Amino acid sequence: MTCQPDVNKYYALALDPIHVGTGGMRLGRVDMSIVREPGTNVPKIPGTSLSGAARTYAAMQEEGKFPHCAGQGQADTGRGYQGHCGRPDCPICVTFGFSKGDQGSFQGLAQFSDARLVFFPVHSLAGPVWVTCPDALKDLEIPGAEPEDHQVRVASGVKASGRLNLGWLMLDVASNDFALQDQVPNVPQDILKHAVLVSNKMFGHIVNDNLEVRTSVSIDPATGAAAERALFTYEALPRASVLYFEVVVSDPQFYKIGDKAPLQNNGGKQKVIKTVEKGLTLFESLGVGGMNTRGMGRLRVLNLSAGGAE
Amino acid sequence: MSTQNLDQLCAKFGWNIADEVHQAIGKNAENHITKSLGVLQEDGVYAFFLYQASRGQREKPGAGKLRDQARELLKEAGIKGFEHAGEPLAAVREYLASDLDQLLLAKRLLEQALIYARYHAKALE
Ligand SMILES: [Zn+2]
Repeated sequence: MTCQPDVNKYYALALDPIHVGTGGMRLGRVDMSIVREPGTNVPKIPGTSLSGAARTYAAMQEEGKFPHCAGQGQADTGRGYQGHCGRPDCPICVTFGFSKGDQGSFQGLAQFSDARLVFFPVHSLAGPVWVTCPDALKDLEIPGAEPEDHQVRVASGVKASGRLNLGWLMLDVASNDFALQDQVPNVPQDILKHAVLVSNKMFGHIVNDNLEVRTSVSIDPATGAAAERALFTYEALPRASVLYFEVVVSDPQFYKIGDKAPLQNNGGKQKVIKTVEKGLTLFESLGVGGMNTRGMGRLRVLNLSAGGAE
Repeated sequence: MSTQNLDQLCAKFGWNIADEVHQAIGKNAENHITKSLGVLQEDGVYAFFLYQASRGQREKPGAGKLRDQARELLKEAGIKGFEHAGEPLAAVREYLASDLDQLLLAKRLLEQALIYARYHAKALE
């Protein structure tokens, strides 16, 4: 008997602009910038944000688990919050981990990767196109020859010959045979037919030049009116961006909580996967990241019923 | 050319920009710098210089200072077309637009300097 963790792969489509903030630890054009990959400067959604939201939404759908198993672990008797239950039969605590101070903690059997950007929508002379690059596709195990920095390879639906602009940048169309239709079955065909492959270097430039930037006012909670001088700007991944992430699920039979194998009589590994997916289902209505009340953050996970594509 | 710390160059010009634009248009400085940065990021280097040329009475004195500092930054960084620091719009049209690497570097340098300038300008208010 050996431990073979399941690697579940998920695609997600942004139904709204998505803002997962850096907490102000970054200088930028905007007051509130979003999290980026250090090496490439490409925006991402950290795995911690995904698992945090999935935990809360899964707990909401599990009898008797909300709010105590949803949030932070430590009990706060002053606020009547009991903290994580930490029981070996609790699908939330087993899936996402728990922390009960000196009474021990458990890492959780579902490990979320960061969600990385795969297809990014940009306007062009040929209408909206979705930009990607070899590094982004490598995650999906799709090989692709990298174009030169000044070139693009376009899919059949992109009506462009000679040159194509991506935002303000004009690039040469090297070929129109960039076909992904069969390789990423979960992503809408309309996006794949309008896919454009650029070099890894250009991907970061194009994405950063075409992020959504909005201005908003903060509301003074005391008066309910716009606070004085409280105009602030923020950036977001635009609607119709496609991201990819993985959830690695370990088999409960290899672990112990107290002296019991977790979820022994409560579904085992399948229960862990189901719990993750229950949480992910609500991303579509409740969203991830900040400013959900301003029409931001809804994300449709595209291949849930499949239990994640292999 | 000897090694050059590009961030230091951006820091220097970021400060110059904030200082001069603030002297020229006072409390509108941060707003003008932020909008210029937005134009640069979304529409590119040419649009950025064109934006400076197109400002109305209130912002014009600051826009002129910003244009001059931006041109000097690109000159000191050795960007193609800016060696003699003539008219920046012509330099972009005639040289930069045809060299993708130089264009991206110029844009990146201007972005960084304007980001610093934006925060300096906030502090000057
Ligand atoms: Zn629990």
